[in-house]
Amino acid sequence: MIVSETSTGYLNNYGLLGNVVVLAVILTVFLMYNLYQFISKKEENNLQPVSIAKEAA
Amino acid sequence: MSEKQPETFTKYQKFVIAILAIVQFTVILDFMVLSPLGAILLKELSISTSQFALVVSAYAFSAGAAGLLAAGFADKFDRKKLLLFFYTGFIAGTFLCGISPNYEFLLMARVVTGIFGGVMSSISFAIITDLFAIQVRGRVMGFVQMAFASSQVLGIPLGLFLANTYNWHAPFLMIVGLSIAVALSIFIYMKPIDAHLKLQKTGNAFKHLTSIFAQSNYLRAFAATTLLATGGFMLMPFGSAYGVHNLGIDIKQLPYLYMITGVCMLVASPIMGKLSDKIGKFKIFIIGSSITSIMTLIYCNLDVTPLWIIIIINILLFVGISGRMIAASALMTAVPEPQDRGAFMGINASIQQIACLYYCRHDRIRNQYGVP
Repeated sequence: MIVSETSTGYLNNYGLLGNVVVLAVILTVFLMYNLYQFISKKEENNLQPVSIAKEAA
Repeated sequence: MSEKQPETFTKYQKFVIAILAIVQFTVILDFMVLSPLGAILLKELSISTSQFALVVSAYAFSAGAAGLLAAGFADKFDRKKLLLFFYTGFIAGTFLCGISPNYEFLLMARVVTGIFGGVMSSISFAIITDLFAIQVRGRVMGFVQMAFASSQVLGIPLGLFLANTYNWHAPFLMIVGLSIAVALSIFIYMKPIDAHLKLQKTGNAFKHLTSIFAQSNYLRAFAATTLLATGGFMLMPFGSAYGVHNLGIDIKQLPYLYMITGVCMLVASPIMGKLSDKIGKFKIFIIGSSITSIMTLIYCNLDVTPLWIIIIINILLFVGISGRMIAASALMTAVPEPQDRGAFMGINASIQQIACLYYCRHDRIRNQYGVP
């Protein structure tokens, strides 16, 4: 949709595609921050893997 | 979130990490080896480029669908048994690829391989989450993620060598041989991973699946995965075409670019994993995202550029991508409750496969030139 190809194979609007990717990266940071806060709270309530004690031995 | 200095792994944990990394290596290699075989397959099977694109995307499509369907059942069984079951199916599918006499058979074989292979990463991640504490999961993810780089550096050139020396069936049969040895090791040495079975509440697989989609935190995680995957896959389909036509790289030099980047990733992935445990997973995610953003903006606005500069930029870009992926994967494992891990990981893997489908359908230049 963003990138178009000329008859020589040259790709147009690749810079614009880069901007869209960076926007997606920034949005992901916000979502991950939200998850990170959720995980931190969960860890405070003593997060333990189910079978670490049994299997790691 | 507190990030304590991780302890050393036990022998058994090292074995699990190594075996899961090799499992991932074989599955990714099976997927990736098809693309560079394109030039040979087009000639040998007398197929069009669109038929070949269908062969490539059939895997991703069936993998995405299978991940979603298997999600409801993923927490109902011992994870070792589940791993062995799907890995055996993957081996059978790859074997069928290795003996394919024609296009239709190969297409069917790719669907079979996708159904079983597509679920492998979710089972592997669920096992990692069950066996390793969050404080060391970055390191584990770092090692497992090395499989991607390894398949690019070692697997694809080896696959091409076998295809050129013998025939196009040989790389698939090589994967089958390696996978059988791995499956036997899992069968003999891996202990049952069934502690989550005691925590199961509902008996119905469909109810379990719908309960996953009813949780807002899980939905936010799936949204993050969607953005993580699409962000990466947006650039990849055009990577080779952009390199050749916009940056002026010779088509014969492209494999060097991928290979050098792959070697650097082999070194960078475990370092990133270690750092994410030491410094903090979210911090590494932020650092990785910052590097990715800066390098993306530079890379996407280049004109004809000397190869060595492109290689440096590409390496830095992939270091950033690898840092954010490893940290995000490790953080993501902490989201689901133990009884939901398999289902959560299955849906997560499906989302990645669907994003990958976009990549498959658009990666024409690589197929056209048989470039890894």
